[in-house]
Amino acid sequence: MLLFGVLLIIGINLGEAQSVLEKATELCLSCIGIG
Amino acid sequence: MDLRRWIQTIAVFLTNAYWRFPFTRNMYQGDLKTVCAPGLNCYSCPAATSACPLGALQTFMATARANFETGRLHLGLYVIGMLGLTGSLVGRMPCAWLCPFGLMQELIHKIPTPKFKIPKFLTYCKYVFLGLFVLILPLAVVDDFGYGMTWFCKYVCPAGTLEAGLPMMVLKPELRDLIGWLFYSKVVILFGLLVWMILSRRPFCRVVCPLGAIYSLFNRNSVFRMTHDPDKCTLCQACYQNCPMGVKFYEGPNQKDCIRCLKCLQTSCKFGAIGYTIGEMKTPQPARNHQ
Repeated sequence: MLLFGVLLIIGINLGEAQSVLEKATELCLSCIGIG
Repeated sequence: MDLRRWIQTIAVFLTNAYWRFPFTRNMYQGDLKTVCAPGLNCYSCPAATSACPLGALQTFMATARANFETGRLHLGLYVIGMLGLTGSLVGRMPCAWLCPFGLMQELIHKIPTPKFKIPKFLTYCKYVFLGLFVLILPLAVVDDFGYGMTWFCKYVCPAGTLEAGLPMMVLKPELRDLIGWLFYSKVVILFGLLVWMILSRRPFCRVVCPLGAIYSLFNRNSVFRMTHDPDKCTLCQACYQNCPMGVKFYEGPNQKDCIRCLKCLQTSCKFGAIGYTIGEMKTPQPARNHQ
């Protein structure tokens, strides 16, 4: 459990949360079956 | 409506709280989408206010090689950490209590028809979907620029079709000109699964869902764990008959397909053979509601 907590914190500090936000706020053409 | 159904309903509304989408004709684009919801909820759903952990994980896999070449160390640790932390704490519990797609399957299954069991060997397919469509293919199959695709989202995910594809065709008519065989094939997959959901209990969760597959790996070692007292068990199979996942609890607790809905504990077992522990804490025997 501790390991995953550490991974989560490392991921946040690497800027991955921002990366998730950038992707999630674009319309995903693949998800809707077009792209 | 029991407590679990209330919590499932609240979770649906919290993860899909952007109700202005019919007026803005666009999906939510705010900062809440930094957070991955614990259940399966497509982030291209116009009402979605959170990210999908499965979509996010595939995106990290698909961009890992290109990111490496540019020195950007994005390996999906954020998503892996979040999934692992959730799984380590409660195992597959989000499937029963927080997943909108799980709730939908339970409601659709109430349609009165003959019902059919799902063969156990099919439940291993979700690990193939996880390994192949979520992890390997996005990483291995890349274009000239080193970018892969989100294979599960693109070719399989019925949640994306139902929550995002179809609503977006209504909200943005200009997208309809772009419809091709991929869209129709996903509609066929969605339709097939909807029929299966009527006929069998939670077929998507048991046979397909890679997110459930991830959480299932934590069931045996999570902080929250189910317990089974063989001295009290009479092998009446009431737990199995009522289990939304077809789990034979009397064969052992914390099996991979147990979603910890607590139905066996609260309404099925009349002998007190089923319980749970939270770490080392002693938990009181829950009140049983025999209806």
